[in-house]
Amino acid sequence: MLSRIRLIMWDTFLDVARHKMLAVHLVFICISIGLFNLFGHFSTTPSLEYRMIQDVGLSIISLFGFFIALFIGSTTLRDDIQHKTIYAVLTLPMGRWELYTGKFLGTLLAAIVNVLIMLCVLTILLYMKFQILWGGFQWVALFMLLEFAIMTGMVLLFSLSDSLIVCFSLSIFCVLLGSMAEHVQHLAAAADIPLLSYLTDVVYWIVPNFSYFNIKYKILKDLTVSPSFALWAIGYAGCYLLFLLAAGSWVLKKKDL
Amino acid sequence: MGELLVAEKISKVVGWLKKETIVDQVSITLYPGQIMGFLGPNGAGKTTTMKMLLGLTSITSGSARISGAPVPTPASRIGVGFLPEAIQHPSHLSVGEYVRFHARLSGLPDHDSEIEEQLRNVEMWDYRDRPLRECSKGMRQRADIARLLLCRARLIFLDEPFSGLDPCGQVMLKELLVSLKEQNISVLVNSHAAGILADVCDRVCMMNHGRIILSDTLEKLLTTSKTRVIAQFSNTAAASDFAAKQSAVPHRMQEPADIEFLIEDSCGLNELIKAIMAAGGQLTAVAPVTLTLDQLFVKVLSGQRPEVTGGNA
Repeated sequence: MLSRIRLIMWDTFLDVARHKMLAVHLVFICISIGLFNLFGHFSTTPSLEYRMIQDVGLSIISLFGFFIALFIGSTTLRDDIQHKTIYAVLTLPMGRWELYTGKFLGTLLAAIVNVLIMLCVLTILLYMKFQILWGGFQWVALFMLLEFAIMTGMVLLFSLSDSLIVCFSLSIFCVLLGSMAEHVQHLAAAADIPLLSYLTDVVYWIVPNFSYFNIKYKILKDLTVSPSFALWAIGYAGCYLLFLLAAGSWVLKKKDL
Repeated sequence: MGELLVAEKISKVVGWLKKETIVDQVSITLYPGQIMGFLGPNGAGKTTTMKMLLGLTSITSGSARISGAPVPTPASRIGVGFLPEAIQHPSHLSVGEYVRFHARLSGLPDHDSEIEEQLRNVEMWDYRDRPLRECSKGMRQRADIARLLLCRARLIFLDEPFSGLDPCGQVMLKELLVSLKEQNISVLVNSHAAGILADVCDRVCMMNHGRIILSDTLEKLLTTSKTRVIAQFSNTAAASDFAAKQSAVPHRMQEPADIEFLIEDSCGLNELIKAIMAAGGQLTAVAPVTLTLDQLFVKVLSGQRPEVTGGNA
């Protein structure tokens, strides 16, 4: 069972890595080098230039990371179903949940490696220009990886819908709502109509709360991240990923292919 | 000989508000080493029936067992392989990697010697390092057959395997099917290529509108009750005289002094033969009239043969 999941995970990762990742990284490196040249002209002091590049760099990684999650998550399983590649695997004596778990872990791995490579490129370029080691790199990496793991798992779940538009719409909707989770909570508390308050509350609890992973302001202001906060974020992400995995496995099991 | 596959009145109903039955009480029995062909127009329910048996689509009612295990449990898929129509193979794998990946997934040892043997069986060993995306359709199908053989499949489902293949590819696949049969591997094949099915199948099932409308061994299906008799006479005048006397029997004149008769029953056959001999004619052919599978298919679909067995295969 575990060996089958590992095989599918590795195959999924290879599929993504062999064809899609390289192009994304090349584009990212080009944009990053362009940024360095651009901010060199605009900033007044080296420290300001450093912060600006760090800030914009992280924002670009966030944007690229989301696109990668959307791209990988929406195509991996969906393409296999549409191209009937999945039939050859599902007609083997194995459960559908094994296939889903393998795909889930493979896409997660691909998304994580993608983001990690982009972060490393940014860090190396920063070091080459300013000769300063990025102190909070491990925290940025950890929180971004958790965030993109959830995004990828979510997109993979939505990719089981019959329509790509539904998959994209739900993914973007959940990411936007999840990024504004605290506002949604306030909205639930402030709503006058009980039903609206209840529904908003349900949405708040179902949609992933991405604000737990947004530590960019702390990094930019050289604030430290407490280990307890990190543990909480890891626990939350772990539970949410398990929920996504269980939901996806159930949907795939019930799906007529 | 125990049944390998038994389906009892399996049905598939789709739709939420407007229910539609796309497979209606289909029953099939398949024995080891048998090749069964599914023939029917597009939308007849052939592929859906296969998918239900493979556990890819749920069965609305009825039950099926493969090697005694109920469908759709994973146990029912032990030793089962599927080659879907128009499958797009993983583009990131080479032929060898693809076959090895499936062997490992099946929990079988992926010994190089076994992979080599199966790829050589389908004449794909020389292309083992070629990416699947660069292989022709025929090559990819052969790689799939190698995959199924490596996974020690005892029952193979093929969905439209001949579509899009050139004549050489069709002949090669046909030979492969025959060799599978020789290895006691059962095959359930969906196809529109009636001529090819007639060459390889033991049994044929015709489906239309989700139901099996005709099913039997190929021999029984294609044999009719009619007999063709060709008689030769010494000259055209003698042939014409004899034909005139036998006007009640359907016949047609052939050059130079031959007559071809079509006899409906064996009693009429004896009388006709006696009459030919008495008139000084010579019998040059007496043979039962057989249909081709294409002719039978067209006849059944156009409603010219209502005496169908129905329901069971």
